[in-house]
Amino acid sequence: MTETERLAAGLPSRTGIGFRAAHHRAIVDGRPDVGWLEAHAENYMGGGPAPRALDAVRRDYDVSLHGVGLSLGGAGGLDLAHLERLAALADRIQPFLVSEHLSWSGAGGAYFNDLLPLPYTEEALALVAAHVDQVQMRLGRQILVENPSAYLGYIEAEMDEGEFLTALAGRTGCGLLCDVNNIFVTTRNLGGDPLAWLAALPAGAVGEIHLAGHAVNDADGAKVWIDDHGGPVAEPVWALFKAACRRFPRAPALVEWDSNIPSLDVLVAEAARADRHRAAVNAREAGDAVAA
Amino acid sequence: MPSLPRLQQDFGAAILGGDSGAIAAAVAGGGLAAGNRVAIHRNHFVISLTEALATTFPVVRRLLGPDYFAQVARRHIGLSPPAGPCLFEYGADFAAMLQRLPALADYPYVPDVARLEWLINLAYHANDASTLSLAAVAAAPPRLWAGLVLTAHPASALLRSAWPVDAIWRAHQDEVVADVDLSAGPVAILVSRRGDDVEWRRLEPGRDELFEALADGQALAPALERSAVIGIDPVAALTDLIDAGAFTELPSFVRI
Repeated sequence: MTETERLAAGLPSRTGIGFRAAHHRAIVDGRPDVGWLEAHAENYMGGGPAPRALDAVRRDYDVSLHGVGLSLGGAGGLDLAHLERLAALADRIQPFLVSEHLSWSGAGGAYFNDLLPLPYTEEALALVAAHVDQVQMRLGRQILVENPSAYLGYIEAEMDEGEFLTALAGRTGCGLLCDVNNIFVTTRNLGGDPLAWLAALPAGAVGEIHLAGHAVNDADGAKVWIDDHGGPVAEPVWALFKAACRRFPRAPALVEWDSNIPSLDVLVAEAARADRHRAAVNAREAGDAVAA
Repeated sequence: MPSLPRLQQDFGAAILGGDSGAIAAAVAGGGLAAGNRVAIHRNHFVISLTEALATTFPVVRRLLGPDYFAQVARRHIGLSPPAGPCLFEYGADFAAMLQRLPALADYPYVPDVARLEWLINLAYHANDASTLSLAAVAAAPPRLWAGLVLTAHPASALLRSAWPVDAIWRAHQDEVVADVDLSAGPVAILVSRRGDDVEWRRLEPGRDELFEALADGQALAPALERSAVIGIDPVAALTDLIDAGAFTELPSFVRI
């Protein structure tokens, strides 16, 4: 897709960055040259300076709302009060994308502050699909559902993650958010080929690409890859990003950096690096098209 | 394979620090044992919420030291996990938990420092509202004066403590903690927010009662009369409260 085509589709052509409290002042005052901003919805559900900063940047940037607490896979049902708060925020911000995660976050009235893994079964698929329907009906729009970082799988899974997400998008009409760092982390922790994983996603459903850094920890002598969003994007993840750009040319990309948050210019430089990779992919694709 | 509700119940029990055997039995091992994989989520639960509490209660963390704070936070997180995903709303009952800790019996001011930090957090996330100015009160038509009712600003709140918690808080903002005279209590502190900045000030005796009366909806004239009866200067008291940003702007019909 050329830049002109992307603009015609109303999508940002350049990479965005996460909108984090540590950078509110710098972004509101400095208006950095990035494609768009993504806000964690739960951080803007109160009043005061934080939502006011989001309102301020919304005037100059496309904004996406990225939820972390809706618990689409929660067996106890959606928290309707929380869904109302998300709907109110979406009404006010008018985001160009709303996304959530393929995970669950709580049980018995407790919230675990984590994106917990679901068993990929027909039972879970029916539940998540019903919740996605419910959210899309309430918001009056499509949402994107993101592949999680996995540290464990279940013995009696009935399908793999790609099959589950494909079926979910097919049943509900939701889009998918392809997090290439999560693909890398998941395949390192559970095995599998990240490129095959990427190929399993239905290209037409993917509406956003996430990039982030991860950590490698030691657990009883075994390596564990942790999706901590706490550093620069790792080299093998950049390679996966280029593959994702070839496969999902319309999907806007975003760099997440949520812990050990660097100065804004470091984050902006990381987004610029993503732009260069994407431009290189586009140039090569254009060259291939001419050669063909 | 347990049903999904059962599986999440078992997983939740392991996360809250209980038995992880049931959920581990449903998890594939290989490379790393199932129990260790579940423990990654248990650890994330404790560590990420300890960070959330440390963000809201930085001076309590300094008072207790990072190690003891982490121990206390872990206990609190297990007994009283968040009820929802907005983490700025987590920690309402942290001060009450600290109050019940026998180990803190010799440091009775710590729970009140936690109460101050909680009110600072609430004030930061409170809704925006214009603050009442003295000029607006002065300009209100005299016929409305007797019945004028003020509204507390969404960010304003009162804290009473037997300890000088404001001085303790300030002493812990610097690298080197200054001496604090712990006998300098009791205090009444009014927390408020102007624009982005949360502020608080110590109120002179009697002004806290005036604030409470007005915030409860008592009309201005009787509240000020009551202040005069208990021997405080009512105009100075009202001026102080308004200057502190305690109230929201008057409705437009009063400002004509």
